[in-house]
Amino acid sequence: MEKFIKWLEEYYAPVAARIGEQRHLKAIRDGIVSLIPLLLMGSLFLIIAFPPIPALAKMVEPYVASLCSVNNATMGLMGLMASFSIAYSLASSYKMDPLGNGLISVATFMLATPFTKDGNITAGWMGSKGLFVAMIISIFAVEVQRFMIRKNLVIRMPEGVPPAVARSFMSLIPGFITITVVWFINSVLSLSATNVQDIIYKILAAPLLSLGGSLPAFLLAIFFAQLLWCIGIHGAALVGGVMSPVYLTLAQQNAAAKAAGLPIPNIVCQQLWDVYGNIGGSGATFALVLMLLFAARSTQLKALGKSGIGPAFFAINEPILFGMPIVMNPVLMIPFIFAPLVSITIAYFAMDAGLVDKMFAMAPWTTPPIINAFLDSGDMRSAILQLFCFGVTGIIYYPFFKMWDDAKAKEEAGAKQSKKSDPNVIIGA
Amino acid sequence: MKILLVCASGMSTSLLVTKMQKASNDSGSQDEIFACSVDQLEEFIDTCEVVLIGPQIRYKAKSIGEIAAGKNKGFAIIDSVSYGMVDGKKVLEQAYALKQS
Repeated sequence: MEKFIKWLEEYYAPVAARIGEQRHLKAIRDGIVSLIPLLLMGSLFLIIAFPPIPALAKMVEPYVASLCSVNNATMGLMGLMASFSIAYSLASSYKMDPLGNGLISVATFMLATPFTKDGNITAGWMGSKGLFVAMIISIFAVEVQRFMIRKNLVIRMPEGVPPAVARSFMSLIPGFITITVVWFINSVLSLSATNVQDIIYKILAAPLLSLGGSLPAFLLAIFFAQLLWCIGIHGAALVGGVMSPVYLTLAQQNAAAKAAGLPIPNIVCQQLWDVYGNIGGSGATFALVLMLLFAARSTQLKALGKSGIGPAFFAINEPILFGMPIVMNPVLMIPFIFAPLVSITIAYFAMDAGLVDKMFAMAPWTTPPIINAFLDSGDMRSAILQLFCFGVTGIIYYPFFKMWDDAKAKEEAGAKQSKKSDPNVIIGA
Repeated sequence: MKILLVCASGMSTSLLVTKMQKASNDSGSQDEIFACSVDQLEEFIDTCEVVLIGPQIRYKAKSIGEIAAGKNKGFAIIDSVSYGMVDGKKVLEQAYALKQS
């Protein structure tokens, strides 16, 4: 076990960190994260449009279309906005002009998108369906400009010209090339009655989504995240960062289906992790915190339970992770890895069997348990399912908690003994 | 002294901020402690003297350390035991040790 932890530290962590910190992936993550407030706002209106109480639902029924329009303008434009925000963050990371690059990327994104015969924008491609094209185009647009700046193939204004003007001239030739290339590709594709959006969706996005949206892949991603936490690295931020385009797209598909009155397609989505994998924080430690608080014999662990219980309601558990500690602790690592995996698997099959409704709304990840389960699906049974999963995580944690608590209590008793014989020994806080 | 704590989203370190502020007030020193997320680092770094990062983002220690060094700020990873126990006093001591060196 010691060797395994060492191996994790030496080989796994650096590789994972390098992937998580890769410039383009980071730009995609930062670009998409900047959209989350909008997704949450859209979600809120969706919850209002489809309230979980039948009497209320009947009352808002005439306003459903108007309430859904908020969702259409936020979640429904996720792809379009990402084409701006990803180019913006990538250009800032290169210390290039973020605004200019963002704008070129939006224009290019629209160019790649098919319009209707009457010249209208196709709303379908503006949402998560266009997200992958947005990622590719924004990276392409910024990289073209970077390449040309490096080769000095840009128009440089003499000194004394205001920087804003100089910058816009600088992006002129690269922007022209980006747009021309995409225009050319799209024109060739249109000969066979297709377009960039369609092709990318079919060959890239659809397979990625069905693969990333499968239960085994989801569990694997969480396994990797938990493993990172075991060596004290923020696994959810790293793995979630890489996977969030997939999970958020699946979440938006659910929201769109709900708004359109269709059955909700995906069980795996961002919320499955938030609601069932993170009850009380990474590793579903809520049950563990309660044990620390009410069942610990060790005074240190009891104190930890006290400081950990408040944050646990908001899915924050660093005090537990580093204080118990779970990090680098071969005993507690085991339930820490498996509790969320088991909890998510249970939730998955419960939804698959139709025992509870699938999730369409998205509450912030800091929303307390029960409330988040209820809000995200609008189904009271979800809260019961979450309680059940919470109970299961408690059963998984208990034997390991007991083992650790006994060891700690013994240690403390030993320290007290030696303190009696030697008044100079001070017990560590 | 102005101390900036950084973690993935600025949430868990904000727990520590309260404890450190209390430890600082108790000892009568005039410290100002605040937390931010990694993404906000560049916004806030100029306003502080010492940057401390949560142990869970130590994979970013190198890049943040370079930024801090470039701006002549003290920099360290918060000791994971004091971090876990949310021991404001110990972390405050850690910050002061940085300033002196």
